[in-house]
Order: sequence, then C-alpha cells, then structure tokens
Amino acid sequence: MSEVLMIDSVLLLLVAATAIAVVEVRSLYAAAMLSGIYSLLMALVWVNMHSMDVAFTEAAVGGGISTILLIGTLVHTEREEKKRKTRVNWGALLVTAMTGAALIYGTLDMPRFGDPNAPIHNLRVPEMVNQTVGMTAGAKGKQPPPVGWTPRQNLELPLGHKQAYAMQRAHATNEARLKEAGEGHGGHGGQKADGHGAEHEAGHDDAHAHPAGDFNGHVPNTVTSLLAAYRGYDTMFETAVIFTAGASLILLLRRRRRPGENLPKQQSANLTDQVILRVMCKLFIPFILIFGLYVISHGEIGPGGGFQGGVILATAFILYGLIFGRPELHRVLPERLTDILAVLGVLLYSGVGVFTMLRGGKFLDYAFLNPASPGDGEPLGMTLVEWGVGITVCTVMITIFNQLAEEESK
Amino acid sequence: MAWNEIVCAVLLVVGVLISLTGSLGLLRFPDFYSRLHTAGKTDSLAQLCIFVGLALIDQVTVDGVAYPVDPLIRIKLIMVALLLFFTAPTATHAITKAAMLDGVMPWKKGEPPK
Amino acid sequence: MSDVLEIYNYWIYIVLMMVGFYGVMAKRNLIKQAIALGLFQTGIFLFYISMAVVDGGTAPIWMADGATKVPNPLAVPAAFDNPLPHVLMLTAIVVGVSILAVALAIIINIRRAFGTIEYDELTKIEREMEAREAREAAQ
Repeated sequence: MSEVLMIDSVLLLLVAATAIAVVEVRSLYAAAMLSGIYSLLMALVWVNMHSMDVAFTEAAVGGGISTILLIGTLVHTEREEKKRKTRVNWGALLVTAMTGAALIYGTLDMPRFGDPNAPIHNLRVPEMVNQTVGMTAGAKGKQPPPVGWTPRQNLELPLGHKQAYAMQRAHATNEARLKEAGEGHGGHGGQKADGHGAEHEAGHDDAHAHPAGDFNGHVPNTVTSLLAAYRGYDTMFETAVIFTAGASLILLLRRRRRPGENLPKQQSANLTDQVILRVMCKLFIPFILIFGLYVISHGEIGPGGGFQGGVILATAFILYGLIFGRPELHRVLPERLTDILAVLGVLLYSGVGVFTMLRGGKFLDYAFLNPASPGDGEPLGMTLVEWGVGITVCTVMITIFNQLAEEESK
Repeated sequence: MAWNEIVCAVLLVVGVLISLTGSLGLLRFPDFYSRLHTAGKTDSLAQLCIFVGLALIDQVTVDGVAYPVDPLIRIKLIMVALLLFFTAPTATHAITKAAMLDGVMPWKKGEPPK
Repeated sequence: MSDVLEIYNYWIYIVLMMVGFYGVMAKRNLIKQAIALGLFQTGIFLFYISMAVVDGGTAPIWMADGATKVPNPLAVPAAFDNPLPHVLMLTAIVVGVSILAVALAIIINIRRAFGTIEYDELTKIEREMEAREAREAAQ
C-alpha cells in the first residue's frame, strides 16, 4: 500500500463523517464551523495527493473566507434550523441511495487509484506539457524542452519508472538533443521551425539563455504554467466570473445612500474594546499583507498565485474590518476604490492579451510581450496576469464581505 | 541515531500525547471554559513541540536516497510555529471573552455537567 | 481488500456528493442547502484530484538543481502528478465561493422580504399570496 493511500484512507473517513455532521447538525452556526473544519480536512487531503495549489486555495477560501461569509449571513438570518417532526426525508434518501449505487457501479470500471496508465495521464499529456504558449523555440531566453519528454506510455512504468527516465536522460547525448530540437519541434513550431536549429546553436552561447534542462522551457510551477498559458482564456473568464459575483452582490445588497448620509453605526457587539485583539491584529496585519503579496508574485515559482494570494490579502482587510468595525475599514479602503480595483484586475488580465495582439501575436501569447527576449515572456506575462487575478479576487472578496455584513436598514 | 533525531522523536511523541490529552479533555470536561483550556493547549504547546521537532531533522530519505534539508525549510517551520504561538492564544482569548460577554457561566463543583 | 482500496477514493467522492445531494433535496433551510451544495462541489473536486495521482508521483513543481538547494529526487516528468486536474479545481474552488456568496446574498434578500429562510414556509407564503391575488381578481 502506498503512503498516499495510507494517509488518504484515514483522512477521507474523517472528511465523510464531517460532511454528514454538516448536513445533519441543527444549529446553523455549528454547520458553518463544521464546514470550515471540513474544508481544512479537505486541504490536508489535497496536500496528501500532492496538489499544493489546490490545498492552498481550499485552506484560504474554504477555511477562511466562506466561514466568515456564512457567519456574516447568519447574523442577519437565523441561528437554528426549524424543528421538524420527521428528521429523515425518506424519499430523498431513496433517490440519493439509488443515484449513489448507480455511480458506485460506474466506478467499478475506473482505472485503479494512481494507475500511471490511466487515460487521463496519457491521452493529451504530451501535447499539454509541451505546450508552446509563451515559448518561442530557439529564441533568446528559454530553450526548447529537454530530452526525455517522450510520451509517457512508451515506458515500462510500474517497474522503477524514475530510474528508467533518469537513465534515458543520462544517456541522451548532445547530438540527440540537437536532433530532437530540429525534428520533433517542427510539429508544434509551425513555420518557425525553418532554420531554428541554427538559431538554437547561436542562442547557446548567449549569456541570456537559460540552461537546457530548465523546467521544460516553462516556469517551474507546472500548475501555474498550465493555468496562465495552456488554459489562459479559461482562467481569464474564471476571473470574469468572480468579478460578476462581486457585481451581483453589489446589485443585490448595496443600498443607495443619500448624499451626506454616512455609514450606519455598528449595532452589533464591537470588538474594538478588546485590547489584546487590537494589539495582535495590528501586529499581524502587515505580515498577512506581505505574505499575500509574496504568494501572488511567487505563483509561477512555487505553490501560490493570484487566487490564493488575493484571498489572503482580502483576509487581512476583513480581519481589520472585524476588529475595528466596518466604518474604519471604509476609511482605509473606500467602497469606490474596491469597485474600481475589481474592474482594473480583469482589465489588466485582458489588457495583457490585447497588448500581445497589438504586438502581432495571438491573444495572450506571452512571447510577444518583450521582443528583445521572447523566451522570457512567459514569466513576465504570468506575473502580470497573476496580479490581475489577485487584484480582482482580493477586492471582490472584500466587496462580498462588505455587502453581506451590511447592517439591515431600519 | 544522531542526537537530533532522538530529540526530534521525543518532541514529536510529546506533541502527539499533548494533542491526545487535548482531544480527550474536549470530550470529557464539564463546561465550555475547561474544554477551551484543553483545546488551547493543543494549539500552543503541542504545535510548538511538533514544529521544533520537525525543524531538527537534517535529512530526508526518499526511495532509499538521503537528501539534506534546506535550512530555509527550518526557518519556515519555526516561523509557522511562532505565528501559531501568537495567534492561537489570541483566538482562545477572544472566544473566552465572547462567551463571557454572552453570559456563559463557568461550571462549579457539584453542578451537573453542561 | 486491495481491490477496494484501489477505488476507495472514488467511493468516498460518491459519499460526499450524495451527502450534498441529500442535503439539497431534504433540508428545508436555505442556508443548509447552500452549504450542502458546497459539499457536492467538493466531492467533484475530490474525484478530479484523485484521478490526477500517479504512483510515486509528487507535486508538479520543478526544483532548481543547485548546491544550496535540495535536488529534487523526482525531477523527472513521469514522477509528476497530472497537473491539469489541479488547474481545473483551483479555479473551481474560487468560483465555488462566488456561488456561495451570491446564494447567501439572495438568501438575505429573501429573509428581508419574507422574514423566513425555510423553504416550506416560503411556499406557504407564496400560496397565500396567490390565493389573495385570485380573490382580488375575482372581486
């Protein structure tokens, strides 16, 4: 049994138990807290399955923001579900059981957990990992992919596939590398392939050139590389979805204030008189902000990125709003500013795309950002794009918090 | 076995035991405040033991090959421990104070557990 | 036993999804329904991330090989988990919280308008309103 599965089997039982508790508990506050615990457990499951970016997002979003949003809503609604005579809805249970049984019957045909020969790992992975977005083969800057990027299914995987790959890489001579650069690249290089071998030679001595084994010619974090390049359009529209959510919250909940009317005074119990909380909050908010900025700008190197960093930045402001009251948060970060910034984030993302189009490339082809070294376009473009995502996510989360926490009009 | 591995093992065992007592107390103690007391111990002392223990490890073995641990990882572990050491007691304090303001009374000897 | 463990993750994903499904159908409280919808989503995330795992794989992040850095023992493509499901779920989580936020905003508005967030009471109010309108139309 693998280590992943060992930890997995325990964690997932806990997760399933928490899920049932979330649905069955009657107090809504308890349900909100339990759903936070559920998300943190899920983050552990993601770490266990090596999915660091997802774990990061889940911990920040599920454990942090959504719990705050739920509690902020409960303040305005009710504390408990209504008592009912029948606890169990037998009809729903029957439908659920039947659907579940059908799905379980379906899993019997699934490839086993961790199977390297599963279709998902072989069908389009070579194209995906060798994507050329943001990478101009043989140009100044990044180098073409290293040798060893043969399709995975050609290898005897179950028997020491790591060693097999290491040997293959060690035995690959420089000749083979040049040959692959000349031939194998023509497939996705298109018309650029002409004379690209010579270009590649020339690029070798260039001080600007990266070493050949350099992350397959992409940024080190493959997840970010796919997020912002291979699926760049998708991510752009996900950002637009988040922006739309913020806009709908404003439409649904923001009340129009008469000119001169200030924010309503805080009616709920204020936390401002708690000295320890105030001191610790003031002590830690700078660190939270720095960490958020670090996560946004570090996204292409390690786990992190615009989504996670944006949420972390937002939590710093939400913490400030919780401790010092929302009028104070409005003084620091006026509603007008968050509205404008949310728009600017989306515009920054799509602006990068339009800019590359104006430079003569395709939409979001980062290689056209800087003609002097197109190979370095990907890190540059991704940093810009991640900042766009980060700004939008951060400001939309703050907007959502502001709108949900808005005191009811009397 | 090097000294740091022994210390690490001892610290991890201590941390796990304290966590265990914390969870046990959470289930067994009679009222809100004493339950919070055990939970707070898990947040501060147990996590400190575990993180310091992990920071002492100086090599990781993957598939029979030993790799040295980056000193940066130790610094990060210690920083996480410090962060939790400051924030967890603050959270415990805030919860206690909120409960006091809400009018939750402590349990006294002789009363039935709440 | 090992046969069960080989598809254990998929079974748990079904359990999570079905718990969420049951919550959405059986619970009458709107906030409970919104939370249950989140459970349903997480079940799907689990399904995708489970499919991404490869035996002996590690996080799909390259590490620099240098004297001061830890050489990545698995710096070989085949030893990575599949990064594509991670990318899909990463964005889906943030979209999930947006869905939750919009749902909660609608729930707050419902509560302001009708004074309740229980589904059966809302249907009762709706029926009463319809009956009143019908009476007024008849007069």
